[in-house]
Amino acid sequence: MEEILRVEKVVKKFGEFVALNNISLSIYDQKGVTAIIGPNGAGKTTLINVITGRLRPDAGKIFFEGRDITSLPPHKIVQLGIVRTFQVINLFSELTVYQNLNVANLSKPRTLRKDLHEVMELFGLDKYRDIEVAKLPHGIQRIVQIAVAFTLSPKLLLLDEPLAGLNIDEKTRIVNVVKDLAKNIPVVLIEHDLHVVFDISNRIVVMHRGEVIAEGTPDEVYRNPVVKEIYIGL
Amino acid sequence: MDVLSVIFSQLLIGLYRGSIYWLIAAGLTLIFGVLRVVNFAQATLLVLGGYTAYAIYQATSNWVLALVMTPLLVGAIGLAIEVTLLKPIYKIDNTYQLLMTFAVVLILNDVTKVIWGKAPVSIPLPDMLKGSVKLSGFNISLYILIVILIGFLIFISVIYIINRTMWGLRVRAIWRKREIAEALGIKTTTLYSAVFFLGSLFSGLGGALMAMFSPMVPGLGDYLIVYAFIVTVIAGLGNLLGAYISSIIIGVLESVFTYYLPEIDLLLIYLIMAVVLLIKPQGIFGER
Amino acid sequence: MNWRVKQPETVLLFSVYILTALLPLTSDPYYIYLGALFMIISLFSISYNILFGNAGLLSFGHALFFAGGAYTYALFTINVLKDPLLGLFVSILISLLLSLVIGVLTLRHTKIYFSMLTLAFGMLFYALLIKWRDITGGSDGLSGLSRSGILINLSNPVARYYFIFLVFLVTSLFLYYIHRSQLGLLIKSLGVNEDYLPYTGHSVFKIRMLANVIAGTVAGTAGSLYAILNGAVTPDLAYWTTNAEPLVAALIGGPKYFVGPLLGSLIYVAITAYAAKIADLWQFVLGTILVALILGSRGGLIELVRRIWKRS
Repeated sequence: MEEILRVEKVVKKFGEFVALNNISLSIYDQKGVTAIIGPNGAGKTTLINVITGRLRPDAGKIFFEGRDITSLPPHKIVQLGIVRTFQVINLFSELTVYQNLNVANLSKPRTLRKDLHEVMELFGLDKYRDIEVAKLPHGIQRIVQIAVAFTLSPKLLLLDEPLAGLNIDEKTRIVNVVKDLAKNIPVVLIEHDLHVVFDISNRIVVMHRGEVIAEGTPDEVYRNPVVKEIYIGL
Repeated sequence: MDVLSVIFSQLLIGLYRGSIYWLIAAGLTLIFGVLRVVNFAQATLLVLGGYTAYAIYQATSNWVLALVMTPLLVGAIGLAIEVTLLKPIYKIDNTYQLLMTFAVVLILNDVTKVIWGKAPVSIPLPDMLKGSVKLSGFNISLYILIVILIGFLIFISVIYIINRTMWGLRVRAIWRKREIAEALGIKTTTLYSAVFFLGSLFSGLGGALMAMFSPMVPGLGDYLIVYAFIVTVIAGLGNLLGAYISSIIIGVLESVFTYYLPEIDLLLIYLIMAVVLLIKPQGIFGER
Repeated sequence: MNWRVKQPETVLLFSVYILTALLPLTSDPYYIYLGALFMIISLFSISYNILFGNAGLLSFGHALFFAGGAYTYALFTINVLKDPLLGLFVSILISLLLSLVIGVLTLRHTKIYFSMLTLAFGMLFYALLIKWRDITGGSDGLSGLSRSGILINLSNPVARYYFIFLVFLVTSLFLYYIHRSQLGLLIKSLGVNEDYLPYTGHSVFKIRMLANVIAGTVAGTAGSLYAILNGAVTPDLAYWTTNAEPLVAALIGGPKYFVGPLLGSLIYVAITAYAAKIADLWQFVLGTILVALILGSRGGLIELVRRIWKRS
């Protein structure tokens, strides 16, 4: 099975605090969801930030489709095919849903752009088309984030806690969206809701204190004593 | 005059100018570090200080009084500005606070013009400071030496206060992290005002000192702020140590260029800034 | 804030065009001068607002482009070829180059550094204008600029007015088109959430550069029109506090709207015209207006009107 993303011995420090401690992991080029779980402060978001170019690692390398992307700026990484969503909703709040999608669409060459009407229909956003994103309910904003990511035709999708702050119905909706997306591309999901994680993931990576302490199928991880210890000890 | 003494006197003038720039850059850096505001009026406050010192001297013929009172008065004016114009808008986008300091520049420029007119004013150099000190065969004007010393003392004091006192601890805790300040339970309102007062005080001091050597004209601050910005950008925004060192370097370089290459002296300073930014965008010493 | 104010803006814009086209019918030379000045300041302000209101960049170096355009026009018509039309073209070209150079030097930095750097470069330009007396006329500037040339003759104030009107019409329509276009949307996205933009695949630097080149070139165009109107150029055009004019105009009208700076320029020119006595205190006046706007109405007049409209 081919790797699509390889994180190689990455170190990231904030002053004295070591957020990523020589971490290495691989994401494979297969459809489906790879979940990254772990207690708060494990370094999950920092890892995403380093992969997507938001932060520069102090040591180590990141490879995407065999290419060293460690020092590339964020927009180039997006253009190569890695797209992320944010834990704290990050969009063009004063622009409409359509405009948000359009901005993303415009970063693609004309031939690779999507029909935004289709995209909006696909995600059930057509009735919100001309509404300022800031005025939309939280759950809809999360869908817009994912729709924007979809518009960018990602080869690898990184979702950072897409269910945060949502009620059951909203969560179900997002989970279904994620499941659909994962039918076509590899999706990395950072999530705290373990029911969802064990339900939809093919593979789970467990992080703790900036390292990977366990990985494997949901079953393997579930039965892993080290993992149990971390979660019970909290 | 032999070459060595020319170089030496240029060096001294450079250190003098650098010290003046430092008095501006100090306030700029402190205010930016704590309030996250780039105070475009920092040099205008210096000029206001110069005018204030002049006014006090005119009234009392006492230059010591002028030197002591001016920093306090300018500090008070700065405090008033912070309380009335900046405090109400801390919650909104940073851009507007910057714009507000710009408005202060515009207003103060014309206020000084109306009160003191367009003609340059200055304080005559006090007899006590007219003398010179002999150092390894060179004559150093007492006045210049004192300004350089005061600049250095201010530098030491600021570093000490920031790093060794409880107050300084609070300052360091919220340095460039205004959002965290309140969460930490630090009384930001008084802290901000105190820092703005201090920054303005430094500018006032610089103005009072400078008025004994150079004439004050309305709008002089518009020039001086450029140097303060060049210093800050080269040093790295928020870096106090870097600001002091860069001020001295720029002061000396400016002095040397003006003497040897007057046609392109300004261009050279800008060239240095451009090169520094190209190689190290966060400044030589790094942003803090 | 909604970016969808289309129809009322278009109506307003074309009303301005009609009114300015008809202004010379008043036959009052003072009004004709003011009208021309209004159009020039409008272009200056609208172009400034591309950076300020749209891209979220506070520039203190825009006056550099304005003065650059004005001086290029003057120097070209004095030293090379005496013709307003050619002078205008050359000035536009130089402004384009200038905005590219300044853009590369200033746009790779954070917004704060950008503001400081543009101020520094603006003052460098000012200092050069003062220093190089032999070429630029020093602090006196250059005057007695000829309005007649081989291709075109603008000695008649009305002819001059309509020349300026034509350039104003074409340029502002071009800017309006950009504003409503996809590029306009990208520039606006910079001002809305610059930190997020790269994650949609766009280079912040590239979009900033596009905005700066458009803005700088138009400011230079306005500058050369100014040289044509006044027949003279002075170095204070490049002084960094001159940037207060387009800034305040944009804030008065409303920086989120295309016609905001237009409206603001109208008010600004009106104030300066009817308060000529206070010309010497223009900094104080602008400063206090700025304070009032920042504390009271940051969305400008248009936002104020919209709020009242919505309530009724």
